[in-house]
Amino acid sequence: MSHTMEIPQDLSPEKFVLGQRAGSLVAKAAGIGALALAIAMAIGYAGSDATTSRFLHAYLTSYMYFTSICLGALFFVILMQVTSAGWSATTRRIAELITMNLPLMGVLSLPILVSTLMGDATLFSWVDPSIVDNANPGLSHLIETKSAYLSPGFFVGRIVFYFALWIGVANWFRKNSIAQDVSGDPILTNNMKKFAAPAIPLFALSITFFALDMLMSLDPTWFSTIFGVYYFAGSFGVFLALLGILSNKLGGKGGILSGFIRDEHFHDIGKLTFAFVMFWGYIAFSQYILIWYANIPEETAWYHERENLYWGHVGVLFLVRFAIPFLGLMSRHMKRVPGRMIIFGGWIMVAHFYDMFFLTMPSQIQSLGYLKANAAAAHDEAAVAAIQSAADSFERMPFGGLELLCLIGIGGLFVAGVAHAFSKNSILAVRDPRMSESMTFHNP
Amino acid sequence: MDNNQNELPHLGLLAEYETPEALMAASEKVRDGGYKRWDTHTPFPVHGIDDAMGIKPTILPWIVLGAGATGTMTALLLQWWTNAVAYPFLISGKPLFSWVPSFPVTFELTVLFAGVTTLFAMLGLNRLPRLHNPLFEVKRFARATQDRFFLAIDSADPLFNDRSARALLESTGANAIDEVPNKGASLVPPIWLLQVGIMLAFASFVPLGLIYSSWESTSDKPAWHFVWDMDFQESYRAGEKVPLFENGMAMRAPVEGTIASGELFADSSFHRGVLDDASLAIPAVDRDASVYVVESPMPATMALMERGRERFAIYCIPCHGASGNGNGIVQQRAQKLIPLDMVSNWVTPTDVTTETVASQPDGQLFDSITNGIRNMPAYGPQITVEDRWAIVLFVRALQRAANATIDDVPAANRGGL
Amino acid sequence: MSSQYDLEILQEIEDPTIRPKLIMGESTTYASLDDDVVGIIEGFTQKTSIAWYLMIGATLSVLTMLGGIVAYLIVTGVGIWGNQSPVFWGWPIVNFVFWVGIAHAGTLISAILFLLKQDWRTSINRFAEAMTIFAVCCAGLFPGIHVGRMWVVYWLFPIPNQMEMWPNFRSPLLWDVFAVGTYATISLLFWYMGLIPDLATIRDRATTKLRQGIYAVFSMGWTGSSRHWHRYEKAYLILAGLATPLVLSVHTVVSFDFAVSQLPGWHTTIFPPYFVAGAIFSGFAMVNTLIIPIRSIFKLQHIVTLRHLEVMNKVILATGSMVGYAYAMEFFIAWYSGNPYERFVFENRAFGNYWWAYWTMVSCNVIFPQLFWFKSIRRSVPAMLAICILVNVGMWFERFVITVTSLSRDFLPGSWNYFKPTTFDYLTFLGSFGLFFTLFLLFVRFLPMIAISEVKGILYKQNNSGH
Repeated sequence: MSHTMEIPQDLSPEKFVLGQRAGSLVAKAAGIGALALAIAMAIGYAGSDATTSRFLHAYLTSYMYFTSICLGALFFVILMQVTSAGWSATTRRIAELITMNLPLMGVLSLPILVSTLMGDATLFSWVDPSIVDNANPGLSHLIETKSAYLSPGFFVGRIVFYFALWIGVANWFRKNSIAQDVSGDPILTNNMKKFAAPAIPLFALSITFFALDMLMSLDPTWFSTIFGVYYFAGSFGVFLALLGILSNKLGGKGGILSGFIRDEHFHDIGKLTFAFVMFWGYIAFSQYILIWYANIPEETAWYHERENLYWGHVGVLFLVRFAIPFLGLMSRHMKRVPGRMIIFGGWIMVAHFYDMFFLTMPSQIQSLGYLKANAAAAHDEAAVAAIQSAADSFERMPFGGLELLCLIGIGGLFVAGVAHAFSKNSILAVRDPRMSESMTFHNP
Repeated sequence: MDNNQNELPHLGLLAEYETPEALMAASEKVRDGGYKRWDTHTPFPVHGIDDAMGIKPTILPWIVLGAGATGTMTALLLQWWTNAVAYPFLISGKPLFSWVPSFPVTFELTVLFAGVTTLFAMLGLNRLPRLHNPLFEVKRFARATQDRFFLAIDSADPLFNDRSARALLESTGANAIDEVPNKGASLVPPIWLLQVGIMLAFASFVPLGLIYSSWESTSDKPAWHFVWDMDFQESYRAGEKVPLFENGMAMRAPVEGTIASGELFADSSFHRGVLDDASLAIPAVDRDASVYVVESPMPATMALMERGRERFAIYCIPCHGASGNGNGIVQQRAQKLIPLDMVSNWVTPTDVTTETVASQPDGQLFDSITNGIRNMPAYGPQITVEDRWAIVLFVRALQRAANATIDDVPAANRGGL
Repeated sequence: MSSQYDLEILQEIEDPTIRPKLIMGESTTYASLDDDVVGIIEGFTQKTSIAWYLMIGATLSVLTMLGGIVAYLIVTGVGIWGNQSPVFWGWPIVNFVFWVGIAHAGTLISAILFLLKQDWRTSINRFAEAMTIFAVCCAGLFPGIHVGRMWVVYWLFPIPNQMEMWPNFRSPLLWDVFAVGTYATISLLFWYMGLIPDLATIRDRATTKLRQGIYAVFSMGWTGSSRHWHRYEKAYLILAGLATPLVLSVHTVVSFDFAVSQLPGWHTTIFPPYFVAGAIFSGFAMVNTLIIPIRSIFKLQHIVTLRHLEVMNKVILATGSMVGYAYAMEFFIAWYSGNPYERFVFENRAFGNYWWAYWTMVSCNVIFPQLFWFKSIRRSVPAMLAICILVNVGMWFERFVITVTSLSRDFLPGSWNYFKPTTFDYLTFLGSFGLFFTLFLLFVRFLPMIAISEVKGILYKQNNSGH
């Protein structure tokens, strides 16, 4: 006799819409976010070249951070569908709602896209390779060999394409999932599983090239074949951390999903989070050891900036993003008791921001270097001095006002987006065919 | 089941069940009945029976954690000690010890220690292997590993009473209840097994002993040859007489006129300090000053002067002294030894600041350094050509200093004198 | 080769409200499972199996040939192979990586799928773990014999030697020694631990004293005690948790052999996960290749069902796509780097003098497995058998392309040379299959091919779901 799961008695989706509880957060978060962002942009664009450079890098850091959470959510949805996972049925809707922030992140890419299209090479030196020659004669030739790929028009087109793809895929899954809330039709699950399979390679390629475009090309002379996987590992990891926090809050005592999200779910999310902490560590270490070992200056320069010019970050990154969460999440107890996952979930979310920071901010030093060399070539002593003092202050305090404003800015809008989604939609896929399995399974 | 039970009629009761549910229900009854020495036997692990029996979580994970940590420390210590302390050797400029390349082996040994410990600790905690188990005497028990579920209560349990235990089991709806016979069989392995084991243990040291003895001892017998191709190679060795060449030498001399790389000393004035090499055929004492290069071919720069000062300090000061006046430490020592008749025929090192030496052309100074003069040995082999010219330049400075006036001292330094 | 259960399974797969049955047959009981699996071993003694003797006769002769070649190798030297400047790593390394890669599927099925709570693994894990052990044996053979002076191979281990020197721990070749050694040990222990309860089953069904005695010794006196099962399950979980990162690390360390170098085509950061995905890819293909005939010959289709095969095909599709992704990334980044040596290596692979090896690799690894997108192909036993064999061929060629093309044409054109294998290259590789299949045939005859106790647990779950 096969295992038949009964669909639980009349759960209406309306019961699981957070409504005003979340809705009240939307205006506040959006307001704070927009204000912070406006101030940051004002300071950034109105200030000197060095300030604009700092603003753009800070913006990119926070931008890639929040986009990675959305992409991690999207992957979770696709993965759970393609593997016909039962345990996650009660948590999957949370991920689906977070993917509703993808259009927001698409719009938030505008400052970067617009500045690139307008020929501003502050962030991406390949926009105008000639700016590097004063600092590093002849380097522009190397960058120009890639101009078929690294050109502003193609770049912007690609980013638009990625978001169109992601938004399309996310919307399709979410619409089908929400439709199932009402109809309970199992065919929808079959369809979602069928489409999830090809969605995975599409996702893999798009997130890879997104990472290459936005992060790896910050230093157009550096390259690493594993970089796409690296960004993916971090993205899924940070999403799982967020899922752990949200599940604990929503499924804990008195939460709206209590009983639907149980300690077994915390345990499974904890296990997945642990696995992806290890996976991130594995990918990051692979990249590091290979470049360390061969010791080729073309490749080590990137790590050199992050290790020697910039207070030994590589070790700190491994400690913070890998070693501590690894040791913390090993214990079964840590993963099962509600509230414990929140500690490590929060830790990983902060550590992932540090990872994004690690990827973007050191390229600030290069940008400032180019600005300084160009100012020196133009015999503009005042500008040189200003840029030098900006570089010095950056080295003393790399995380300052602009970085905080961008984080609060984009973060506020992100939180508003999630709160909005939670306030208007059921946070439980009430008539998923695997609901009862999700509600009754046990970890040995 | 211990040995002083040998007098008891049986060692316990064994109940058989057809389903895991029946077994679990029975287990709860037995657990609640207060029995401590009892067990259930199933062909596959039944989930939930741990609670039904009141089994406490095992300490195995902690043992494994300890073993894994031991593995980690062992690996790190091993790599550090062997490669950075015991026999440090440089491999492509990598640090002698770094966490980066140490990580793979550390990881592997951690897993190895932890994994091996997992299996053996599990067996140990389960007290396995245990080939003589009284339960095997019950024919029915063979189905414990196939398709039936059993519950066994040990008669050694303090609460055990044949009648009450049997009644309890009957109330659980068991299929059948057997007595576990006391065949009186000893549960200690037979003596001969132990004797063989000890012999084998000793025997295992023999090969190690042989290896050790051959390691420590010497032999005057020739080595064994297993691979003739390697030991008796067809290629010619350096000193071997060979039929290939007329003079029979396997090691050929270089073609006449071959110059080693870096040793083409073509420029007479630069490499030998003379205008024409032919003049070197004349013995040094008979040479006229005009054969030498007058001025050093290397431009007099501050860098060259500093180099000269440094090289002079290394090679010349012991005899000639820091100011070049010949009163170096070797001279001072000799002066102490001469009255003691420990040195005879001592020649004082030349004072290079005298007019005799100062009037010599640069090339002559160069030649003296290169080939030695009188009792001074040749320094050409130790000092490169460029460095010799640097020393010449420095000696000129010493000569100027020896005959200097107050006007030669820079104004700023005059106060210090 | 389709069985009576296939139709039933195919229908159940389509219904998302149910979990398809893993063990088929209305009359399947714990006892019938014992008969099905242990009966195979008992059957070998009940009636002489000519087929088995013929097969092992063949594999033993191939193994003997291998022994002869190894003896010749020791006496004559590595020159009997085609290794030649500048391709100093030839077939031995390719074969080593090939076998070690195949070995990974077993541990993945045992350990990783266990952690992911995939119950379908119980039908194939014993078989796959056995395959792992045998593949590791074959893999370990090659580094052992290709060192040239085998009599000093003990220098690889950190034991005091006459020169008072120690191995170089900063070399990936040494990390390999530890990684493959640990992997062989842990796989063996994990496999053995799984066997203990099943060996006890064979012991308890044994009709002769000899059989009972031998299986009794190896089953350690296992009684199925729940207290023992408690520790056993904990140990199983721990070993699974240890084996998971281990299996990832082993092929990662193997990839480091290549990737830590400075050679274009070898030195690329994606090698570790790419090699691991490739290993799982080839391992699953080998498991499928072997289990398809076995399930048919020994009538195990109700335990290793079409669904099991289909899921494995999906894993093959997924990992094959990952391998394809890695190929694409290597190519793109080589162009993107602007480094002429990097760009040349990939151009050379596709269009140089090894183009035939490259396109074999691409078609077998990337193109043919994509056929598994189609349900009909995923569920057709002949088609999947063909594709799985091609995958293994393709994966051998992948290691060949990586090793040989990068070496034969690297930085200095004056050093370029075309590698040609010798007869001994072919025969040594063939000999390793002799070793593998000899061990495999012994396994089929003397050990239970399916993890009986685990499958019984699944049958119980299946019969009692909803409680």
